[in-house]
Amino acid sequence: MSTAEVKRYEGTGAIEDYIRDRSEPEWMRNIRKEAMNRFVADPWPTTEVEEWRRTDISSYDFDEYSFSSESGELASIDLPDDAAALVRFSGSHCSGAAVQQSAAEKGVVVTGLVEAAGGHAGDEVAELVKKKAGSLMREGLARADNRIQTWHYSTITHGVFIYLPKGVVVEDPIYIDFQENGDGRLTVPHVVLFAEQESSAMIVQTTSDSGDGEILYNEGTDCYIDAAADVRFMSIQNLNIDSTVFSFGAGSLQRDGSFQHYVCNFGGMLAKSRFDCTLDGPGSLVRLNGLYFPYQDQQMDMRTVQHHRAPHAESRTYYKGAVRDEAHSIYQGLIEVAPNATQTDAYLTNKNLIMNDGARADSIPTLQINTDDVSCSHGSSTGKLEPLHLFYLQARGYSRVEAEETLLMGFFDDIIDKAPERIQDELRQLVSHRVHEAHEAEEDDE
Amino acid sequence: MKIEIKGLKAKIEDTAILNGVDLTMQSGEIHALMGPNGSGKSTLSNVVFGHPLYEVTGGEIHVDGTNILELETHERSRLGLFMAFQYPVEIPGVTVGRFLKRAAEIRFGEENFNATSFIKELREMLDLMKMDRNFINRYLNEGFSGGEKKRMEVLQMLMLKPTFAILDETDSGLDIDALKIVADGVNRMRDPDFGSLIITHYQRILDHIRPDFVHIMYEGKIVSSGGHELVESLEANGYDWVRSQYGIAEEGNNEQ
Repeated sequence: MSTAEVKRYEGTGAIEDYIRDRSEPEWMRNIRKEAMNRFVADPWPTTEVEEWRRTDISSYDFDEYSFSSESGELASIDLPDDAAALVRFSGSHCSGAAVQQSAAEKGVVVTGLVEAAGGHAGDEVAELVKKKAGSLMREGLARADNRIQTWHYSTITHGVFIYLPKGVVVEDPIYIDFQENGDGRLTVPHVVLFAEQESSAMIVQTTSDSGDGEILYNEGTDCYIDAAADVRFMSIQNLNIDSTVFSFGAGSLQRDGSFQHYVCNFGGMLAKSRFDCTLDGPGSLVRLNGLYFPYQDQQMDMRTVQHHRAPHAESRTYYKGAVRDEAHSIYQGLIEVAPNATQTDAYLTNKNLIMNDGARADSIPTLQINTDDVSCSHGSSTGKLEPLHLFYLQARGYSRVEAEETLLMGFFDDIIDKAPERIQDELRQLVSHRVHEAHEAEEDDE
Repeated sequence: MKIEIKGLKAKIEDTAILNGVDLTMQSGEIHALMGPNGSGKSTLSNVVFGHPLYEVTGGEIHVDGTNILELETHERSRLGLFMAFQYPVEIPGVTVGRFLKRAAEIRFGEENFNATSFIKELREMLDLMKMDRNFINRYLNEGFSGGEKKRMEVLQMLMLKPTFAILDETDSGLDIDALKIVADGVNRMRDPDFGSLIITHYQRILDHIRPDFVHIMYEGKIVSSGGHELVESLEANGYDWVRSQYGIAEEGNNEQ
C-alpha cells in the first residue's frame, strides 16, 4: 500500500476550530497548535513503516468520527471504600472526581486534566498542572513519531492528572474510569502521572463503553517516575469490538525508580498499542506485563520498548495472549541498550496460545545492544490448544466450554498472578466471560 | 449400571483397530481385559469416552439402554463413567485442587458440594495414595513422575466415586509398592454399586485385584472370556499361546 492511496484527511479545519474555541490556558493551546502543525505535515503511517507493517489503516475514513469536548466543572463523587481516589468520565465529560482526605492532605492530586488546567480545581492545581503535565506532554509530543500521536496531542478531549508528592505513599488504588459512549465518536483521553521522589501508588484504569456503537479511541499516557518512586499502573481496555483503539504510552524512570505497567486488551476491532519505558536512572526497574485475548475478527497489534540509558538497570517484559476464531495478534518487542548502560539486565517474553485453525499470532522480538557487559535476552513461544487436554477434562465431566475455560485459566495463570492481587479475580472473570461469549456466538451461528 | 458393547468397530486414521467387540459388564463386577500390545485394549477404553482421534465405524455401546455413542464425552462421564488414563496429560496452570473441585461439583451437583469436607477427603485420599498433601496445590500432572500420574488417576477415581471405572493400564510402569497402593485404591471401591474394567498387559495386578471375569483381546476382538483360570493360562503360556490359539481364527475359521 503506497502513501498516495491513503485517504486524505479533511478534518484539519475542524481541529483548528476546536483549538480556537476552547477556553484553555496558553500552554495547552500551544501544545495543541504545535501538534496540529506536525499533524498537517505528516502522512498517516503506512505499512511501509516496520511498526505498522502488519496493521493497515489506509482504508480508515478518519473524517467519519466527530469529536467534542464537554469539559467543565468538576463534580464530586462518592469514593469506594478501597479507593484512594477516583476519576470517572462519561465520554469526555468528567462526571466526578474525588480523593481520600488523608491523601489530599498530603498533597496528592487526582483530577480531570483539562478541567484542572482550566482552573476548575483552583489556581494552585492549575499551576501544578501547567508545570508538571505541561513539561511531560511537551516531551511526549517531541517524542511522537507518527500522525496518530500528533493527532492525539492536538485533539485531546479529556484526561487525568495524577500527582504524587515527594515521599507520599498512597496505599489504596487510584481508579480511573473511562466510560465511553456514542457512535462514530472520536475520543482522545490523555493521562499524566507525575510521581516525585520516593512516592508510591497503584493506578487502575478501566476503559469500557455503553455499547452504543463504534468509537475511535486514541489514548496517550505520559508517566514520570522520579528517584526511588514506586508506581504500578494497570490498564484494562474492554471497549466493544466494533471500535478502533489506538494507545501509546511512555514512562521514564530516574535512579532506583520502579515502574510496573500492566495492560489487558480485550476490546477493539483493531487495537494498536505501544508502551515505551526509558530507564534513565541507574538501578531503576521496569516490568511491562500484557494480557490479551482477541476473538472473532479482532486484530491486536502491540509493541513494547525497553530503552536502557543508564547502568545497573533491570527490565522485564512479559506479554501473553490467546487468539481465537479468526483473530490475529501481533507483538513486537524491542530491548535497546545505550552504550553507557553497562550491567543492564533485560529480558522480554511473549507467549501465545492459538485456540483454533484460522487464529494467528505473530511475535517479533528484537534486541539492539550497543555495549558489552549486559545480560539481555528474549524468548517467545506459540502453542496450540491441545485436543487431548480438552478430551481429558471432558472425560472428567467438564463441558467443552468449561474445558476450554479451564485450559485458558491455566495458560493465563502466571500472567494474572503478576497483576495486583485485588484485580486478579476481575481478570479471571474477563477471560471467562470472553470464552463463554465466543461459545454463544458459535451456537448462534449453528 | 449395565454396559453392553455390541459389534464395536473403530479405526484411527485409516487403520482398523476394533473389529467387532462384544462385551457386557455390570455394576458389582470387576472385569479384566488382557491382550498383547496392539490388540486394541486401550482403543476400546478411548472409544467408550469418545476420544477425538478414533472413529467408530460400526456397532453400539449401551449404558442402561442409552446408546452413548450419540453423547458428548462429558455427557458420558456424567452418567457415572470414569477412565483412568494410560497417559494422563499435564495441564500447566491448573492445580489439582481446583481441577478436582470442579470435577466433584459436576459429579455430585454444586448444591451438594461442600468445600470443607471435599478438602478433608482429598487429604485422606492423598494419604491413602501415599502422596504428599502439597499435591493439592501443584499443577495437574506437571512434573509428576510416571507413578505419581497413575496414582493421581486412582485418587481422582476415589474422589469422584464413579459407578463404573475403566482403568487403562494403570499398572504399567509401577513398582511393586506403587502397584499395591493402586490396587488398594481399587479394592476400596469394591461395592455392589461399582463396576470396573481393568485393562492390563500383565498378570501382576490381578494378584492384588481379583477379577470376577477375564477377557482376552486379540486383533480387535474379544477372543476368550472366562474366570481367573484364564489369567493362569496366560501366565503359564504367555501371549504366544493366544497368537497360536486365535491367530488363525482371523482367517475366517471362527471357533468362538
